[in-house]
This record gives sequence, structure tokens and C-alpha cells, in this order.
Amino acid sequence: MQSNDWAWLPTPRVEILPRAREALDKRFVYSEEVAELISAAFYEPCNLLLWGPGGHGKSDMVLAALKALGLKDSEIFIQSFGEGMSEDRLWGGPDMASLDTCLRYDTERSFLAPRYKAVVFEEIFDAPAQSLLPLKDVLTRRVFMNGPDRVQLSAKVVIACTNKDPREFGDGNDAVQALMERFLLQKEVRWPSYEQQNYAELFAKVRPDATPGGRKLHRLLAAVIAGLNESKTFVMSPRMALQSLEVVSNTAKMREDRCIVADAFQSIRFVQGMQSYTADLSRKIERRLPTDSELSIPLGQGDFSTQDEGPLKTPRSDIPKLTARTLKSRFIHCDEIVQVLTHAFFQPCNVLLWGPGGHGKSEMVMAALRSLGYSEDEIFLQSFGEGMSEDRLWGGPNIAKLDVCLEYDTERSFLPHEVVVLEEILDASSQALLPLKDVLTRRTFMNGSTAVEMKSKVIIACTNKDPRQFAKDSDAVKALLERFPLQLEVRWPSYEQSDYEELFRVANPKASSHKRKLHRIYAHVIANLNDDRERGFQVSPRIALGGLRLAGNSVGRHGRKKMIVEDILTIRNVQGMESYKRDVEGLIRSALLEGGVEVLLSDIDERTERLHGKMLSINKIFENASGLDEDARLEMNDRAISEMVELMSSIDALKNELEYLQVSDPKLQKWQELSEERVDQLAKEIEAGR
Amino acid sequence: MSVERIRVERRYRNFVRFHTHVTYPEISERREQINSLEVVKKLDSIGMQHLPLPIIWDGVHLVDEGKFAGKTEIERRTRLAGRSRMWGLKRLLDDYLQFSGRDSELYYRLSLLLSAIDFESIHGRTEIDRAIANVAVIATAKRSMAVGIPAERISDQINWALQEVGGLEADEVDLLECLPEESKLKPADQIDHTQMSVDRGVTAIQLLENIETRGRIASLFSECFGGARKDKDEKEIHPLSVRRLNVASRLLAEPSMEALLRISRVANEYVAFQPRFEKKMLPAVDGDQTRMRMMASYDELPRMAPAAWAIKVASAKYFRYRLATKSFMIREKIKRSDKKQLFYAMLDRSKSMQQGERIYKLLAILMNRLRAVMRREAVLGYSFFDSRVHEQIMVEDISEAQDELRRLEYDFFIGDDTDINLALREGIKRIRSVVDDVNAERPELIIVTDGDHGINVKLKELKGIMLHVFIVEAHNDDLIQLAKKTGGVALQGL
Repeated sequence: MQSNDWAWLPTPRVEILPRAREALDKRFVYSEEVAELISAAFYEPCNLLLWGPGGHGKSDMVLAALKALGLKDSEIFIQSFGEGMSEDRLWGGPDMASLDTCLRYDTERSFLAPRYKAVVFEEIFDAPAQSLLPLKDVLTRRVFMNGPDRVQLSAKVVIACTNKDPREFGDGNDAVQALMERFLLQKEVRWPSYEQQNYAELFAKVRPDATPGGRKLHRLLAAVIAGLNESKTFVMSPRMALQSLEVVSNTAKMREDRCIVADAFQSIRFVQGMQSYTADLSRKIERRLPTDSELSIPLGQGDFSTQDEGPLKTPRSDIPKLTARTLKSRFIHCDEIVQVLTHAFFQPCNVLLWGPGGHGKSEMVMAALRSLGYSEDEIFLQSFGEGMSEDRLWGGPNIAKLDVCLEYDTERSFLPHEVVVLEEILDASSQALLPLKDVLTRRTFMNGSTAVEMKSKVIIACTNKDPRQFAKDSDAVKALLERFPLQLEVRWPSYEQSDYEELFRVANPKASSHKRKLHRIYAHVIANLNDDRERGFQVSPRIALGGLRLAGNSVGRHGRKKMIVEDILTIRNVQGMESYKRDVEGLIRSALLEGGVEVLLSDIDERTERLHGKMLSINKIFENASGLDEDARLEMNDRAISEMVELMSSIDALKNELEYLQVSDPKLQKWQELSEERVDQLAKEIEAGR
Repeated sequence: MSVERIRVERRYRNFVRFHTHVTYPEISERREQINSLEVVKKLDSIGMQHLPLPIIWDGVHLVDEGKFAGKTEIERRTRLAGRSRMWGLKRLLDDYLQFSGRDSELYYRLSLLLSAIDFESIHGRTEIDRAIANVAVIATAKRSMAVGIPAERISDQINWALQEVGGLEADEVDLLECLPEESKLKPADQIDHTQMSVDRGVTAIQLLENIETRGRIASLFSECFGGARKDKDEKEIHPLSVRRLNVASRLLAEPSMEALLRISRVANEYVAFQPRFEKKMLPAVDGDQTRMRMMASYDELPRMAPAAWAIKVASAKYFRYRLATKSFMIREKIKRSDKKQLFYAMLDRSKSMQQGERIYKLLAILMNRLRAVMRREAVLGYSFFDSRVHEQIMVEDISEAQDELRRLEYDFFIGDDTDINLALREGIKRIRSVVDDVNAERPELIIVTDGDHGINVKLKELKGIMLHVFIVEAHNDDLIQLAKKTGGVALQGL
């Protein structure tokens, strides 16, 4: 494998180290040793493995160094490994033309292609062992047997990056152990420590022209971030720290006076990774801020990452107002989501919204996007889910070309759209998510041999699943989640009567006062169904609205004027309530006693009416019977009498219920008296009829 | 603080008993949303039957978006009400002497006081729950005024208490309700005011003043709850809002409850001290959920989703390609792994724990862990130790845990010495022995102590078990270092 041809690299050998060092030093902190190793790998071509916790910019550093050494984009091959990696993907996928005779790979599309001088493998140890094994052989022999052909590995340097610790990983897994031995140089990439000064140094590096105010912000933010760290359980990675800086400084930019206030630091909670901070975040942040007077730091031009109006249709300066106005008028408890969407559009970057279903996540997102001036067909919406597969993600295979090669119809995928909404993203299988991750990072998709640029500026993903559940389970998902720098759990802070009332008010802004009263009663009823416990059952907004609509619908359908208990009970049929374990009817009735006597009264009226009808029908039976002969008449009379008894007992029940009702409002008292009269009258009539 | 009956000055008797005149009712359309008779009934059922009706109206008005009346309105109303109770001659005299208006100043002060109270921080599932809580707060405020506590002190203290308890979850309230009485938790001769004022960051004088005011407000508070605390079996009918206030009244009465809540908040600030959030989905034949995944090998062909076979008809070549790349989906049943986390706590029961507020602080940590059990995220075992380690208590059922809590009175803490090294080693041993029995994983050891002895337990003896250390009102650097090395929470001087 030794070749004496030193000219493969455009940079002269003596220049390698200084150039790499210079390039890395410009953008990264604590990069000296990485520069050292990368230059070592290129000085005498050999393979390099970089490992360490995620979010330290390993791949970025490698790319920056390779570019500095004069390699062109077309000479560097980058491939993401991960759970969904399979052998054929490693070798470039099967050659469609040869498929009928034997299985050969299209090595032109793999890292074996002769034009590549350096290869970068990401997340290499996340791949299943079956795909790592053949790689090991090729790295040793530098030749791949593609069917009968020998394909030479022409890349001189293979650099692998992984989040996993090879020390934990090596023992017990020979395939991995053997593969690791193919990497001569190994280095852990991490900071010497994660204290305030480390973060401050990082901030100073990325914002060189910071104003004095900006520097003060850096100091404060570094202190806050360092205060959140806990050895072993939670460490803010540089990527998270940078995103925090971005978010915090953007909150200042959104304000008229360009000042940082204490509240701005709370927006750290939106940063990806903070959702696994299960402890009390806001208090921890507050504690690090100066307690004295009002905190207000003016920022200047140099403190923001960008100055222009942003790539979206709406200029940056209008985004906060527009988003807030659109959402706040239509949804309740949307402050957080307004903030996170504003940040996402402002920066712009991807955002993940998660939380229990039925809170209108997708609706809010669509409303916000429309307010930014995107029409329905400019917003690309794709539902993921279990059945999602790779080819659907890229727009389906191009059937016309299928005989020659596999190409996708990317025009039909999300790639050409500026704004994208992906729903139920975490339900998709990891194999479909893996390629998505790569494209989100690199912003180009290799469709066959042509590169398709990803034009998406903002990708908003919604899911009902809790991303924290995936933390250890699936690295592919975890890596994908890291591509969404902002994340938010969407749920109401409380599920109380006033919340539901507000929801109904916003949903029906023009309701009459009578309707509003019903809404209040309904809100009262469903608040009573909720569980006090934090993890218990809460009626979601969707169930609440659906139930209300169904109740109104049931009133109209039966031609009633007023809502009765039966109508409210229809909530049992709303999707989502089927898992409710407790006694719905009992709870609803007791709730109505407390805060919905009107409904109970009209219920009694309705039942009186019904009993009256029943009485008439019984009378009719008697009448009919009188014309019959003896036996038949007796039989008919018996039936009528038993029904009569039943009727009387239900009248008694009604009376009891009425007496049990206690009301204080004079208007309702009058109503109650009226109903009582009516029931009494009916009782008398029945007595008389007997 | 002992709760004693408080004498009310004569001129305040009517004030306490009769109208309040301070809220405008029902101006909005919310009028009579709440059936006030039902509120009265509910108040009766939870033992607050003795409260006068006007206060109940006020409480209802405040959730019905009523607002506080202004000065002239209050004057008008007091006069009206006063005159209606007068005889003809007296009424004539009143035209000149203005008897009836003399209390209006008092009512105006009440209105100011109530508007300073943060009624917004009272949460309740329904508006009725909020109304009931409002009633209790108004009644207390009114009485506190009558016994002569300055208005701003009343509003400060009530707001403070409401803020402390406003965020309590139902399960926290459950646990707090099982705490033994204060007199059982702390011997009277062990109250350490210096330590308390250091803990709270106030001067000793402020501390005593606070304790005094709070004690007086609390006795009024619990008076208006009347029998609320007696009938435990009917707890379900107490709305959470009222139970929170009950905790608030305890908080006002027992200064050490403040320490307890503070410690439990501190404990909540550490990620390492939260149960790990991790649920695995494992493939299982008898699983209750299904998922789709890519096929891993060719023997899974029969489990392929039917749509795949349609591709075979449409384009045989593409089918073969997908098959070769194993990129078809298959269906698989999965089950959620229900392994919980195991916490094991070693709790110090030496005599010195009786000092200061150490028992309360220990309870705070224990309760924090019990909450994880109540949420079904963890299994908890604990043992007390002094010079030896006592029997082990495993918390399986939450009602057991509540009984255990009730038992923890101060005379239980009578150990002679504190052997932390023994406790650590024994804790590790006990974790080893239970971790498999209870079907739990990722064990963590928690130690609460006030001992400052040197530690000779080595890191490797812990065998990867995370150690959390809480040293109450003392310092122990050895122990702190050990815990930090395992990545656990290590706090001293709590």
C-alpha cells in the first residue's frame, strides 16, 4: 500500500501541519491536538479515528482541515453509518443492470470510486456488525472484490468519527475490535473541562467582533451554562452552547431596544438536548444571573450572527409580530410555541415539536407558516409513520429509469421546498431516518450521480412520541434529533376549567351569551373528568372541542332546544376517551349539580315531556283493549298496568331529583318551580287516568 | 406553634361575622356560573360549615370575575346594611351622628388587603374548587385583620404561603399530609434559631417575627378549616386546591416545613437526582404494540407488509432490488420494557439528627424519592443506620410508604453513633441482593446523614452504583468527593 507518490495532496508535506492548525484555530477552540492528528494522518497516509461525546464538531473540524489541505468537495467522500447501515449501502447499492445475472455493486457511488482522496465515516460504530465486517477486510487489503472485478481503494486516508467510546465497546465484539485495529491513530475529542471560561472562550471565538455588551452577555451565558452542567449526567456540548448563544442573542434582536433581559436566558430551554434536563431548569438559570437590579445589556451589530433580513419570504423584522398575532388570536397557551417558532423562522433553523396528541401542533405550525406568506402548495407536508420508507422520502423511484439505475423523483420530495412540515417523524423506522439525517447535515442529496440541493430553510417536525425515550434506544434517531436545534414539548401548563373555557371562547369567538354559558358548563364538566395527578388522564383540547361539537350536534339532531345530560354524555364516543377508566356518567352528573343546574333542569323537563308521551300511549293501550274480548283484554290490561307502575316509579324518581336540586339564583328557582309544577301535574294526570 | 383560640376585640365581632361589602358581584355574564348553594354544601362536607355566607359570596364573586368595590361604594353599602339593622329612632339619630358609617373604614382596609392578595395563584380543577379556596383565604385574612396583624404583613405572609404551595403536585400533597405533627417531629428543646435564620438568609429578629406572625395566621387558617383534617377516609372529596391550602396552613404554623420544601426544591434542581427517563421497546411475541421495521434477514420474508408483493407485480426488477437491499418493511410485535430504577436510601437515625431541622430535611429527601415511586418510575428501598444498619424497608405499595412516613417521629431518632462506612458497604450489599428480586435496574444509593467522619470506602467498592450524598447541617468532604466521583449529587451544609 505504500506509494512514493507524495503529490496526491496539493499541499506540500511540510505545510500540512501549519495549514491544518491555522484552519482549525480560526473556527474551533481546543483544536490543537486534533490538527496535530489530522496532519499526522496525512503526512504519512494512515487512518484516523476520532471519538468523544457528540456536539463537539468532530466532522466539522475534519472537513475544515481537509479543505485547508486543498482537497475539493468532489474529492472527499462522507458517509453516515448508523443503525440502518447495510452492506449494500456501503458499496454503493446494487448495480441495476447486472441484477438479472448476479449481484454486483455500483462501486462508482461508494467510497471506492477513484476520484476520492479522503473518506470520512460518521457514527461508524453504530452500524450493525454485519456491515462492519466486510469493511474491515477492504481496509486491510485495500481491494474490494466486486463480483469478479477487483476494485482498488484509492483513498489514502480514512477518517472515522463516532460518539461511542471504543474502550467500552471493544471487548466482547470481535468484529468491532478488529475494525478498530485498522485505525492507527485514535483520539478522544473533548474539552479539558466544561467550566465558565471554556464556554466563554468558545463564544469569543465565534463572535470575534462582539461589543462590550456582547462580551458581558458571553460571560453571563457561559456562567449560566456552566452552572447547568453536572459531571457525568448532563454536560452542555459546544453545539448546544452555541445554539443557546444564538437563541439568547436573537431574543435581544427581536426587541426594539436590542437589549438582553433576564428573561432571555430562559429561552435556553428550547435548545436541543435540554429536554433531557429533567430537573428544575428555570430556577437553576435564575440562580446564576445577577440578582441585583433589572438586568439589561444592550447589544450591537457585531453580536448577532447575521445582519440581513433572512432567507424566508417575510423579512426577519416582521416575523415576531406576525407569528405572535396569528397564533395568539386562534390558539390558547401558545406563548411557548410562538417563541420557539419565532426563533426557528428568525434564525432560520429546524424545530421539533413534541407532546401528547390533540393539542393542535400541526395546525399551529401551518397557521404560522401561512402568516409568513406561504401558500398551501408552497408548504411541503409529509406524514411519516411506521410505513415510511426511504423511497417515499425522496419522492418515489423514477420508474422510467429503473432499468438503468435507481433514481428518485426528487421534485416530489421535500428537497425543493423552502418550508417543510414533517409529521409523526419519530414513528418512522430508523432505516428511513438515517439518510434524512445525512441530507439535513450536508444539505445535498446524491440522487444517483447528480447532486440535488436541499432548498429547505425551515423544517418543522411534529411527533406524539417523547424524544427522551429514544435517548439510549436508538442512535439513529438520536442523531437525527440533533439536526433539530430547537425543540419544545407542547402541552398546556394546566388543564382547568378556565383553560377549557378559554379554548371554547377562541374556537367560537362569535358565540351568543347563551352559547357561552353552555360552554362554561361544558368546560366545568370536562375539567371534572381530569385527573389531579401529573401523569394522569387529561382531556386534550381535541377531545374537548370534539365533545362540545358532538354535544351541540346531538341537541340539534334530536330537535331539542336545550342541552340535556344525554347530549353531554356523547363525550364518551369521542376518540381518545375510550381509554377512560372511571365512571363518566356519575362524574358528569355530580359536576352538573355543582355548576350546571340549567342542564339538569332542562333534562328533567325533557323527561317529563317523554313520560307524558308514554302516559298517552298507555292510555291508548287501555282504549284499544276495551274493544277486545275478555282474555285478550286482560292480557293487554296487565301489560299496560305494569307499564303504568314503571311510569309512576320514574315520576317519583323525577320528583326526588327535583327536590334534591338546590339552586340559589332566582331565575333558576323560578324555572325549578315551573318544572316541579309540570311534574306534579303529570303525576296527577296519571293518578286520574288510573 | 400551638394553635390557641384568639380573642377578638368587640368592635371586630360584627366585622368577622357579617357582611364584607368588599366585592362587586357578577357584573359580567358569568353571573351565577357557580351554584353557590353547592359551594355551601361542599364547604359543609369538608368541615368548613361555620363560615358566614357573605364570605362565601365574596369567594364566588372573585372567580366569577367580580372585583373589589371602591371606597364610596363600600361606604354606601355599610351604611345601608347598618341602617337596616336599626330602629326608627336610632335611624333618625344616625342621620346626624353617622353610626352606621363608622365601620366603613375597616371594610375599606379589608378591601385593600384582599386586593393585595394574589388570588390568581390559587389553582383548582374547576371554578368551584377555586371558590372554596378563596373562601378560606378571605376568612383568614379577615380574621387576621381583626386580631390586629398589620395588613401588609398579612398579605405578604399569605402570598408567600400561596406561592410556596401553588406548585405542589397532587402526589406531593399526598405525602405532606402524612407527616406527623410538628410536636412529634421536633423536640421542643432542640429548636435552633441560629441555624434556622442562617438557612433562610434572614436575621434572627426577622425570623422570630415571621414565625410569630405566621403562627397567628396559621391558627386562624386551621380554625376556618375546622374539621377538615379529621376525616381522612373521605379525602377524595377534598379538592386539591383545599388540600394545598391545608398544607399552606401547616407551612405557616410549622417553621420547619419551610426547610422541608426548600430542600425538596434543591433536590429537584439536579438532573442526576431525577429518575432516568428511558423506556426500551423490545421485540416480543406477546407484545401489545406493533411496529414496522426494515427487514434484517431474508427469513423474514413472510412477515413483509403486503404492499411489498404489489411491487413485485408492478416492477419485478425493482422488487428484486428492494429485496437485495433488504429495504422492505416487516411487522413486528414489541413490548415496552417495564424495568424500573432502583433507589436505595441509607438514612441516619443517630440522636444528633434531632437537632435543628435535620429530620425535616431528611424527610424532604425521602419524600422526593417516594414521589418517583408514586409515579411508577422507580422502586425504593431504605434502611436506617446508626452504629449498625437496621432492617430494610422496601416500598412496593404507596400506602405502605405513607404509613412508614407517619411513623417517623423524633423519638425514633435515638441511635448512639453514626457509622457511615458501614452504612455505605451495607447499602451496596443490600442493593446487590435486591436488584434482581424486584426487577429493577440502574441502582443508585442515597445517603442522608449529619456525620462528619472520614470515609474509607473506595470508589471501586461501589461497582458503578451512583452515590448521592446529602449532609444536613454538617460538612464531610470525604463523602462529597466520593459521591462526585460516581457522578451523583453531593450536597453538604444543607
